Amino acid sequence: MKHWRGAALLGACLMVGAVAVGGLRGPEDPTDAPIAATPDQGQRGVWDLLVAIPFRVDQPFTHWWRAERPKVRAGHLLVLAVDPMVVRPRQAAEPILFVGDQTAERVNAGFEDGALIVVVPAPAGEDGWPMQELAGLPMWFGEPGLPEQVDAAGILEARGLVPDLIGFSAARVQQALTAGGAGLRCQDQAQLYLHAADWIERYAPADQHIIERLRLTR
Amino acid sequence: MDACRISPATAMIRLLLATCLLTILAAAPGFGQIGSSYCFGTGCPCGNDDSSAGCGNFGKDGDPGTGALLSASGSGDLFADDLTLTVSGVDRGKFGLLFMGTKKAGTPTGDGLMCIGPGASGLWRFPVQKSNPSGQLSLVNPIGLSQGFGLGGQILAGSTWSFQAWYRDPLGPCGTGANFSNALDVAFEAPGASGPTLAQLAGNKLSTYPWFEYIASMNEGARVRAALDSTRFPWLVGVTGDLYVVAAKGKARWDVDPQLLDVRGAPTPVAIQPGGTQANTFTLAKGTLSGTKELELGVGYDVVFDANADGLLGPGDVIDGYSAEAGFYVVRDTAILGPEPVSALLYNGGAWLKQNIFYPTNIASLGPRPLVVVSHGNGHDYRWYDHIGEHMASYGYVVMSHSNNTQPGIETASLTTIDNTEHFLGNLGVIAAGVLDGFVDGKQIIWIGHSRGGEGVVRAYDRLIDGENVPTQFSWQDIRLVSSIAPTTFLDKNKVLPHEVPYHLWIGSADADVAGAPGSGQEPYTILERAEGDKMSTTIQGAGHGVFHNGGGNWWASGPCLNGPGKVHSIVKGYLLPLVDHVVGGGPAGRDFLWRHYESFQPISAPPNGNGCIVVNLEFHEKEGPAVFVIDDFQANEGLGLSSSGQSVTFNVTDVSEGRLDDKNGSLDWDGTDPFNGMTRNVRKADKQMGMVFSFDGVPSFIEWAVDPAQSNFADDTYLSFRACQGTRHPLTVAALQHVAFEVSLRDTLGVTSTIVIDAYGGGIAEPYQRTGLGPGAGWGNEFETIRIRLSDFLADGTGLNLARIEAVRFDLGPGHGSNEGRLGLDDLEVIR
Repeated sequence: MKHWRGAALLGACLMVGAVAVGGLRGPEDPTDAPIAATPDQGQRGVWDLLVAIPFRVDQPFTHWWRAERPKVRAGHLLVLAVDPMVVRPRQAAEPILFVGDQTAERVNAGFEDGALIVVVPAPAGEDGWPMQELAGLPMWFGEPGLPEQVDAAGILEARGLVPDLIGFSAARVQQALTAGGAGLRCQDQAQLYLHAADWIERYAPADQHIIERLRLTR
Repeated sequence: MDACRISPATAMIRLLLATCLLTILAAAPGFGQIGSSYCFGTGCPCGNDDSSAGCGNFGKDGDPGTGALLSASGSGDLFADDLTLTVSGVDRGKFGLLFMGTKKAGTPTGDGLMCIGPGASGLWRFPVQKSNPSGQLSLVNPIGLSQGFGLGGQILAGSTWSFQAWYRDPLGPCGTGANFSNALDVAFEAPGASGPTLAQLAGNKLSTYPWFEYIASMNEGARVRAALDSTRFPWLVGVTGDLYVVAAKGKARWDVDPQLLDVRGAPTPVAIQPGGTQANTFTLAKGTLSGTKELELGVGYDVVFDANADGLLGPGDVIDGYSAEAGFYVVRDTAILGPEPVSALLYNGGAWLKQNIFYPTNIASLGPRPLVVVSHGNGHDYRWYDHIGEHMASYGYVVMSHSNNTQPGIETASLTTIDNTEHFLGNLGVIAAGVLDGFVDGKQIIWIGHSRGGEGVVRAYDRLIDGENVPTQFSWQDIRLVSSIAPTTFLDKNKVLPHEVPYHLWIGSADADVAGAPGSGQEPYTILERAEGDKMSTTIQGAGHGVFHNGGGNWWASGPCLNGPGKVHSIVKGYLLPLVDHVVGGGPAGRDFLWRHYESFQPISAPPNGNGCIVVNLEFHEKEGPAVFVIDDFQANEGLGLSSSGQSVTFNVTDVSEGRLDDKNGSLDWDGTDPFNGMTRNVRKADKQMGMVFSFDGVPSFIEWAVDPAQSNFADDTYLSFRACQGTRHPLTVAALQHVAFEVSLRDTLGVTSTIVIDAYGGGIAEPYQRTGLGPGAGWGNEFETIRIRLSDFLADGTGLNLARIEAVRFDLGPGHGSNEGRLGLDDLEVIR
């Protein structure tokens, strides 16, 4: 419990920092066209790993976020502190979020709070839980595009553009895992989304409409 | 067998068949046959008799025992001019012509019989033509055509003319190479001699020529007028009669119930004066006619001039509306809620099957209703379209707005649209406790998508057409309309193609997301250009990307004169309802909303044009087919001097180019190197929408298109149509930032010309939206808008123009003809039936 509180406090501090850098606080003038940006080289948009939770699902679901559309049985639910300017939703191509050799599913928008809850598929072990080492795994926003058009070769190519990325340290990953608590064993994607909604509520409460959508069970 | 002889058995069978056919035709007046046939093939030159048609020929069937048959449909009414003469049984691709005279004969000539002699009237030949692949020759509007024959050859009331066809038959049985059809007498009568004359009467008064526009729809509260152009109804000059406004009856009811019952309480007595339209324009109602009736878009009325003031529709009277379509429609305020109370609910069918559903609360009493599906855009929410849901449901539609998986991309979004439509139709017994079960018409589905969802719905339709997805609850035939709001354009034409489904596009000129900037890869007009069916666009200047939904937040807008959700939703609702009503439901009252300029006809409570910040531009292009004659769409014969229909184009406008409607360099600055500056109609290489651009600057200028003589008969057509835009940031556009007007003329083969200036109806070609960026200066992408002019308007006030023999269409621009200067883009010059 003590560890969790510490991680949460650190996360909150990082959030404040993220917001300060992003500068997107307070109501904006709706008639001022927003600026949506691609991350600067070196920054790559992912500022911190706040929470990490391993998950497994009994009923596999489709990962629409890459061209191969693989079935997902396990993975990690992550909470990332991100550059709000990068994740602002737009219709034109958005920077694609990569985590290691995967494209990540962005569950919420995150641009108002600078926090993104994402699903990262991973191979499932014999026990059903993800076989994925998060420590040292690069997490970055690549060039704008449509994730559904990115295949394994595209991911490798994107990785080649950021050879310097080294990922988060084992200690930071451990803190994130501690913050996330026990792994999630879900029946299906909808149940996983219910858990995701809880994390959105905690880290990106401005995405209320997404929380409500995910929690709609009628 | 001797090629020139026919066996007695064959002849007998043919005689019996012919007798039966004639008997059937005589007993079936509804078949449309008129005239009296004579001079069938007996006593033919080489024994090639055919007693049921002209003398036997080689013809289309290679049988010398059968000849060519001349028949007629329509009437001999001089005003209607709807007589059509058809010759069948000719060999395909052979030259022939119809001729007429008044003296009967039966002289063996060539392989056949010449049944009409010169006589006192002489013989009058109609234009030479080539038989079609079915072996037919045809002649429409002979009355109009005959007016070009001069004295003695003009078809007049009370006259009877004999018609016959001569045609080439190189392999004919007698070896002369030519033959004749049978002959046909047609009696021509004064307008209205045997029944009421059908004409357009209701409409709006104009401040310039043609002084009056005959229209199908007008808004509730607007003044309704009628005009009888005395030059087109000369037999009515001096007649005092009554003008009636009658609840629309349709032809069938008029035929059994000719009584005139004026909805205003009493008719308007009028006297028809010389002086054309202006002298004979009458006010029928000062905004008092109702346009509100149950769920109907409008209320139909017929207008009748009761010439003999007997209170009955009959011979001599004139009626606007003697058909399935009313004379005119008074339309309700389409931008406000309809009469039905609306129920709404949220439904969860799974991770990406969240749906916000709207339906008329009393749906059980309405019967199966069309389904409107809304697919939102990226970062949007399925609950942000309640303005559309409540609006359409209040007019009896079922609306389902679904969560849309847009972030992965367009393919994923398109599958979400298909899955949600399938799920909804397959679970009506569960959704809303089954209240919709049996009351959703799965054969009438409208797909509306916004941004990525807007591209997604087109991709979804393409998937159905291509068989990539085969839903069980519906098919591509059930998608009756696809409409995209500011769609993205990620995918190529082979994946995002509306095919032949009616397609509609909404654009906000201030959009800062799908900005439509040249070279950006997001040029949504491209999808409109790809459409192969009826296609329409509604462009709203000052509207950003985010104001089309109802979720609040940033408008994603850039530019001056921004319009917020309140104004934009009013415009969207006001146009969406008639669009769906007309395209899906076939309602005639909504048709005018597709093309009449916002300046003169708009949804009643939509923000008014005129304050400088409300500019709405409309495009409407009908599916190409027999009802559309393309004079020039620039898709073929790219040379400047030749139209796509293969005829000459002459001009003295300057800086003329034909080519791809595509800004070449991504800058909107006019630097003189890119003639198609500001054009955003082709986003990928496979997109090949062509057009023309030109300038005129302070001197009288023109463009003239010659009309293919084989297509010169416009008498049966309704509109001359084209679309045009101003060239953004061009010095000649910037010189006068206002709408551009010019004159359009038709000229017939006798040199008679009639001219209409395009802003006579209330709007010219609007100036580009004054948004900055992409180079110095102001002005965003070029916005086309459609101009349609009723062909009958060119006849107003007795111009004497012969619409049956048009030889040229001409634009005159510059001083004395409209705007002094301008830079214009042009496309799709067509005649529409």
